Amino acid sequence: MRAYILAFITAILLAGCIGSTVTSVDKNGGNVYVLPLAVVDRMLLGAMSAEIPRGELSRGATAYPSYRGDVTWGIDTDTITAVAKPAVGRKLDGSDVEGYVFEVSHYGTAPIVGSPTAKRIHAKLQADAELTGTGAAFIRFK
Amino acid sequence: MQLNEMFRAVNPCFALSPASSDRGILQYAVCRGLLALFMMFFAGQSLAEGTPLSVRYGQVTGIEVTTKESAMARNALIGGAIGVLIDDSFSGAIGGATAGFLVTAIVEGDRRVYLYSLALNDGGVVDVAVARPDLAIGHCAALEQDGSHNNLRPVSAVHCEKKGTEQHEDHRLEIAQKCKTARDQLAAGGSAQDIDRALHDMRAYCD
Repeated sequence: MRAYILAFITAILLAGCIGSTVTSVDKNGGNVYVLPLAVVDRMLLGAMSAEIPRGELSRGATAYPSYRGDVTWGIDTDTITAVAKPAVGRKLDGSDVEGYVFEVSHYGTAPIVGSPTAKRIHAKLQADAELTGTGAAFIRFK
Repeated sequence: MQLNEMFRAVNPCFALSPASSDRGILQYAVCRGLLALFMMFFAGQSLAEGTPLSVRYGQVTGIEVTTKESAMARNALIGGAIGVLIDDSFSGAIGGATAGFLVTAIVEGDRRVYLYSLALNDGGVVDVAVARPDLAIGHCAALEQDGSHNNLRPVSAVHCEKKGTEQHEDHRLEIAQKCKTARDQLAAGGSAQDIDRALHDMRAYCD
């Protein structure tokens, strides 16, 4: 009986898992930021640690820079992942350049805190990226 | 150290200059030519890096919400999201064709661009397209330019009421210079500590 209850609760929790991604590029365009790998890595770490204690952050399993950490709401948890995806952009003179696009996603059972946290982290990343003045028009991901 | 030894030390081509052989003379000439090209290249680099930074002040006289494409099509100021990525040659071409127009920091994802008309203290008029929406008609703004970077930010009305004092000018120029230094550091990369400091300075001086 206990196993059935546990399975039922797990099923409910799994069914309750939702997520979304905040990104600055879509079919209408966006910006690629031409910055060194080490710089985008520090930008991600800085933006994530503004919301989640640095000791609770871990590197993502991607080949490109990424960090992940959890936020909780009661017994529910959302995992926040911030990544700098390699992409190709186009300068005003028409030539192509390689850079990064920042994306922040959340997934879990606490979207009530995960969603606004992801938005704040992305806003911080985007604000920093714009200040660098290195944006180029997004063409495609690498 | 003898004079001859000193000359050898500063002239790497000297080792290739056995005057008795025609081939040696040719090698020496080629080496000197390459050396000259090398020096010209780096001299050019340092000149490009030394692009002077300027700060001009102006009062906002008009605001229009538009798109980057529209601003560009109307020859209206192209600044740059793209800031640092405008090549010198291209930047020059834009400067010639669209004098007075700059495009700075456009968030294309948002698609909106705020096109500000500035009546400059020196009597000129310039239209600047930027992403920031926080300027209103009558506000005083500083337009900072250095080569391919353009920055527009609100400043105290003191700068637009009358010609700023030398102290004010130095203060704004110092801030703009610190912004440029931080951006240059970020473009170059470096240690985690250097990057964190540059990010901190960029937020403090470029916003």
